[in-house]
Amino acid sequence: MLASTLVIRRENHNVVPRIRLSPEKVRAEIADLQSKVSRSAQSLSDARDAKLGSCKRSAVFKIDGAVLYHYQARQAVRNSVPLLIVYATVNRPDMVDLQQDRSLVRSLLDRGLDIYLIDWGSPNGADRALGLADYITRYIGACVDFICERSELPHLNLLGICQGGTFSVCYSALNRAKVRNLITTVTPIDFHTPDDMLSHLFRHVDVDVLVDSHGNISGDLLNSMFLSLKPFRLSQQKYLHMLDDADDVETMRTFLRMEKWIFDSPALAGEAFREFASDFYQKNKLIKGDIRIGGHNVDLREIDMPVLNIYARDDHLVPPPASLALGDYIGTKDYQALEFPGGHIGLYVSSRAHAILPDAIRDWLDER
Amino acid sequence: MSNSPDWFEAQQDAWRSWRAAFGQNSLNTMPFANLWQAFGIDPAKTTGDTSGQRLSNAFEEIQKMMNTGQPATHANFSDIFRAPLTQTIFGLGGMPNPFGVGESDLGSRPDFSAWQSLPPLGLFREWQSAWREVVDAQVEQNKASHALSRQLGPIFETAVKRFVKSINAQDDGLEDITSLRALYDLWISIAEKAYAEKVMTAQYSKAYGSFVNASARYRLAIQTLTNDVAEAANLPSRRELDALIARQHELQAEVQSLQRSAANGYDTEAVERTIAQLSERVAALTATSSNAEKQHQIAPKKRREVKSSNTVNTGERRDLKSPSTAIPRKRRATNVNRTPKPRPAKAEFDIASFDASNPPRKP
Repeated sequence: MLASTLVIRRENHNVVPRIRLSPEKVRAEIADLQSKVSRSAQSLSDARDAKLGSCKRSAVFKIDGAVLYHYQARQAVRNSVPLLIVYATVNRPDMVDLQQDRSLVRSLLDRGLDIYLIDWGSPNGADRALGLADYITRYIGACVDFICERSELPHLNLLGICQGGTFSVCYSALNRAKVRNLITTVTPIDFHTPDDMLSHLFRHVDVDVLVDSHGNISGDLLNSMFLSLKPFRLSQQKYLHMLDDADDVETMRTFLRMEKWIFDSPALAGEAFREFASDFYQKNKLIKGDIRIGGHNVDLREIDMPVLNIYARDDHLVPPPASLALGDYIGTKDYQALEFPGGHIGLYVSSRAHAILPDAIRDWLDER
Repeated sequence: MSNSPDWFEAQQDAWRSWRAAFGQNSLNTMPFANLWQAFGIDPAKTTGDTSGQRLSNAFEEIQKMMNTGQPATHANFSDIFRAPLTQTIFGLGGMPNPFGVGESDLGSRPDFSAWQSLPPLGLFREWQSAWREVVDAQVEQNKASHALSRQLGPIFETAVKRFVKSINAQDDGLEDITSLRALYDLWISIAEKAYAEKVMTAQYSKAYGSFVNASARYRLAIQTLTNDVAEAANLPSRRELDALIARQHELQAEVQSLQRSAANGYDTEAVERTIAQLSERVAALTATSSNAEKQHQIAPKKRREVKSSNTVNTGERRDLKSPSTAIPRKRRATNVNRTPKPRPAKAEFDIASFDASNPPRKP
C-alpha cells in the first residue's frame, strides 16, 4: 500500500489534491449538472441528424463486399502518384473524413494529393470464410492493380491505418514493385511488447473456439473488448464530460459522429479474425518472418521502398514500441518514424495532430 | 442534505426533458443514469419522496469511507463504480444467458454432478450426451465468471484505498479538490490505474481467457445441440451452411486463381488453338456419327436427346475446370461471335484428355 501511494504521489507530482467541499457547494454542483442534463437533451436532439463525411467521392471499383472510393480533387493534383488509404477491418473508415474540420482526407486533398480509400464493407454470415489472403492479396491487390491501370503508373503510395497498416506492410513485402512509398500510422508490428494491454488480455483466449462459436466476430463483441481496456473512462467519464458542452449543438454533433463511428462497427470475417488474432497477436509471427499469406511467406526485409512510420505517443491500443518495431525488421534504408501527441484516434481527429499530420505526409511524399 | 424544492425541480425537469426528447424508455439507456442512482436519484421516478434521504445516505457513506479508508458498503455507491467493469468485461461472454441462470444462481442450483457422471443409455443416449454437454458448459461458464469476478473485486478495493489516501494526503504543494467533478475525475484516474495494473498480471489474463473460452464453449455446445435438432427435422442447420460457405469459398479461390493464371502466364491463344483443333476433331467424329445414324435411320427425337445430353455435358465441363473456364471472359466472348462449331457427341468428346492444369505456355 505504501508503495502504491508513493507511485501515485510521484506520478501526480504537485497535483495530489485535498478536499474542500461543503454540502451547499455539492448541492449546487449537482443542481448545475442536472440543469446540463436537461439542456443536453435538447442539444443532443438537435444534433441527432449528424452525418459522417465531408468530401465528395465516387465508388470506382468493387470486389465482393469491398468498395474502392476515389475522392474528388479539391486542388490541382501536385503529386501524380495516387495515395491509397487502407483502413482496418475494425470500425468503418469514416474516421479519416469525420467532418469538415476533422478530416485527414480533406486536408490531404487540399494539399494536392490524389486519394483513394478501400471500404471493406460489412461481412455477413456468408463471408465468414474470408481470410487474410482475401483481404491482402485479393482485395488490396485488385484495388492496387485497378488504380495503377487507371493512372497508367506501375506503382502507387500506400497509407495503412492500424490493422490496415499491418495489411499494407504485408502487401508491400509481397508486392514491393507496386508500392512506391509506404506510410504506416498507429500500426502494430510487434504484438508482444510489455505494455500491450490488448495483446496481454488476449493471450489465453482460445481463438479457435471463439471463432467456431461466433462465426464472424461481431462489432459489439470487439467494442466490449476495447472498452474493457479503459472501462471507467470510456463507459462513464466521457459522457459526464460531454455535458460540459450541453448548449453547443455543433460540439454535440461531433460527439455523436464519434459515437456512431465507435459503435457502428462491422463484424470481422471469422477466418480473417482467427488468423490475425492467432498468428499476429498470440504468436507474433510477423516479426519472426513466419506469416504466410496466400501461400507466400511475408518477409519484412523485402520492404525496400521508403517508409514513414507514424505513431501516437499515448496510444493505448497500439503502444509506441509495438509500432516502432517496424524500423528494426524492414529492409529499406529510407525509414523515418514520426511521433504525434495524443491517442490512437486523436491522431486523426484532434486539432493538435490535425495541424501537423497532413503537412508531414505531404512533405515526406514530395521529397520522394 | 435537505429536500430543497429547487433540487427536485431541477431533477424532474432533467428527466422530463430526456423523456420528451428520446421517449419513455430513454432513461434506461441514458449513459450516466447510473451515476444519478449512485447519489440516490432514481431516473424512473419523477417525485423526490425518498431521494433526499438516499442522497444523504450516499454522502454519509462517502464520508465514512474517507474517514476509515474502507471500501463503501452502500449498494448504490459501490454499484455505480463497479458498473463500468461489469458492463464491459462481462459483455465479452458475447451471449445473453438463454436459460436465465445468472452468476448468483450457481450456489443455489441443485448439484447435478452425480447425475452428470452417469453414462446415458439406450436409444436416446446421444441426445442426452449433447444435453449434458450444454449443462456442463454452462456450469463451467459460471465458474469462470465467478473466477473473473474474484479478480475484479480487489481492483475496487485497491482503488478505494488509494483514493482515500490520495484525498487525505498532506502536502503543501498539492492542489485542493474544490468540486465534485474534480473528486470524480480523481477517482476515475486512480481506478483506471488500479484496473490496468491488475489486468497486466498473469492471473488476470488467465482468468479472463478462461471466461471468454468457457463462454464460447457454452455457446458452441448449444449450437451443436441446435444443429442436431435442425438436422433431425430435415431443416437446414448452421453446420450445413458453414460447409457450403467453406466449399464456395474454396471454389471461388480456385476459379480466381485459374483466371489469374490465364490472364498473366498462359498463352490463351494457344489454348484457343487447342480448343479449335479439338473442336474440329469432335466435328469430324460427329459427322461420322451422324452418317452412321442415317444409315441406321435413327429418329429425330433421338437426336434431340443427344443434343440435350450435350448441353448437360457443357455444365459438366465447367465443373471439370475445362479450358473455357480458364480463358478470360473477353476471350470467351470473342469465341461466342465466331461461327458455331458442331457440338460433340457425349460419348466421343473426352474432356479428361485435355490437361487444364498444364496448358501450353508462351515461350
